[in-house]
Amino acid sequence: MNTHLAPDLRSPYQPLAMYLDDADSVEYVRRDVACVYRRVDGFLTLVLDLNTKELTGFRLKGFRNFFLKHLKPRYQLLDDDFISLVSVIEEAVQVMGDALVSHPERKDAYRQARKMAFEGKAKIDRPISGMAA
Amino acid sequence: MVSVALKVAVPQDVVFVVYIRLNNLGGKHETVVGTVTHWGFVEADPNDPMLPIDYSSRYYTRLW
Repeated sequence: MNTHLAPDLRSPYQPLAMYLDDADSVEYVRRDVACVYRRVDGFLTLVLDLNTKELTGFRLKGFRNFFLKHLKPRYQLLDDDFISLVSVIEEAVQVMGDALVSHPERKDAYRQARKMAFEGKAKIDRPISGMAA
Repeated sequence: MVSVALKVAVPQDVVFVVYIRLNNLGGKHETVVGTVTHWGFVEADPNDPMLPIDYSSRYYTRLW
C-alpha cells in the first residue's frame, strides 16, 4: 500500500497584480482563460475572455513612470507598502480628468477596471521599495 | 516535463501580436536585437483582419 500523501497544493486566493518589468506594465487577471486584449488608451488595456468577451482583468502600461510621477509624490508610501490597484486607477482618473468626460467609452472602461480592482482588493505584487529603485 | 497548455479554437476576429523592445533602435546594425516583452490576442481591424484594430494610430511605421 502506498503511504505517500499528496502534498496539499491549495493556498488561499491572493488577489495580486503582477508588475512585469520588461513590459513595464501591471497585469491583473482574475480567471485563467484564453483572452484578448482591448486597448482603451495609452495607459489602460482591458483583458477579455477570448470567446465571450467578458471582462477578466486589465493591464496598466507605462506603470513605472506613472508611479514615479503621480503615485509616489501623492501618497505617503513606505518602502514595505504594497500599492492597491484601486488607488492606481483613481489616480489615473484624476490625472486624465476632462479627457475621460468627453469619452464615455474610456470612462466606462476605467469604471469597470476600478470595480474589478475594488472587488478583488487587489494589490501589486511587490512593495514600494521594488518599484522605486 | 508536463505542460498545462491547452489548444483552444481562436475566433476569426482576433490577431496574435508580439511586442518587442528594440535595443538598437536608430542604430546602423544589420541585425535587429531586442527583447520580447509581451504577447497576446488583440481584436482585428475590420478593414484588414490581418492587422490589429486601429493599427494606423497605434503604431508609427508599418514595416511590411
